Amino acid sequence: MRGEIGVFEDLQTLLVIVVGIGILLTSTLYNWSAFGSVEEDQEMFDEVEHLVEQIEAWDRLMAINSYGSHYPEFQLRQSSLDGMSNTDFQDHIRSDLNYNIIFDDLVIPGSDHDPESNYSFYEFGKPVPEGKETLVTHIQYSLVFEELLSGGDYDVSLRHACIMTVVVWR
Amino acid sequence: MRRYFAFRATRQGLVAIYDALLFLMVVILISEGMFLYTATTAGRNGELSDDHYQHLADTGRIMVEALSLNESYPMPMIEWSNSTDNETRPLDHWVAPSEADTVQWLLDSFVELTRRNEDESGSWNGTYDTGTIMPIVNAIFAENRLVGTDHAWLFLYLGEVELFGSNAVGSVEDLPEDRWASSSNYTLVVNEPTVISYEAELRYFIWLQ
Repeated sequence: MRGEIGVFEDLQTLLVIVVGIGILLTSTLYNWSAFGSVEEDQEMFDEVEHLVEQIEAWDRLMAINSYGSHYPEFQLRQSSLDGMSNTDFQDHIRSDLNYNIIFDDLVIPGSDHDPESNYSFYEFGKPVPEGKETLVTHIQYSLVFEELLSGGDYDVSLRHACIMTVVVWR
Repeated sequence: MRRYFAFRATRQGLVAIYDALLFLMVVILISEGMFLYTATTAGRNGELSDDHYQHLADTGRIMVEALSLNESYPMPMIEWSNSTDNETRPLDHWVAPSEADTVQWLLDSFVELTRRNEDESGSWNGTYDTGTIMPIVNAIFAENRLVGTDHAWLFLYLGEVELFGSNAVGSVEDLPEDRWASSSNYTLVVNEPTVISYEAELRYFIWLQ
């Protein structure tokens, strides 16, 4: 082919353009697929943050001070955890993914686990499956024990270190 | 004449193909541009946001401040003395806890006793040895390190800076640049003939191991 055709000189230029488009197209498809997997990973991290926000916004889990009012900063109320069923917890703490949440009292060792009085940990959600890809996050809280005094006030001097473990999976 | 028209027809067909390919290339380039934009705004390989790590620093500080003394860390003994007399009593004898003998109360007490030591009116008739308070605060912070992180904390008071609670760094200059901080204010305002402020701040740092 001789002469100018459109904006190109000849078929050689056409070939260069076609190959160039092929490379660009392949690169784009690869990049978007990689980005898609990043978005999927990000979804699990976002869900952990969403679960933490729900827990800290639930007034039933907020510790009370000696006058029976909530503290301005989030601390865990041991008596609420102690008497809570898994169904009740899952009715309030919701997620599009599966989750397992453990509140572990670090002062009471697991070997001293005593269901009749104080638990050393409180577990909610579904059992963590084996072989699934999971995301695990730990957050620290103080666990405040309360005792009702005769005058209507509370003794809240007993506090334990507590670690919350959040596990999510698809 | 027929050959001329045939050539024209072939040429127009090629032009249409070229133009279509040009259009496709522009679409792909725009798509690439969109990818580059979204990829830089979403982070790599999925990760918790900076806000989340800031939250971890905040919850760590709040937790340790709220912890009370226990068998491992009992009430510190404080010696009061003047030129003629001295007396050693538990800290809660000198400064009453509000509702629990927490770490927060320990730091409040440290500020309060230091203020009394510097009071020139003579109201307290002596000085308090506060040296037993900070080691307990230090030990409780050091014991409660979050999995996967290192931490340190600063206590700034009257222009002095003390670094505690870390096995990883020994001075402020050694703190890593990528870190998150959470602060509490321990400023004490005394309404004496003139208002006196004792500014103190607890600053807690965490960073990833």
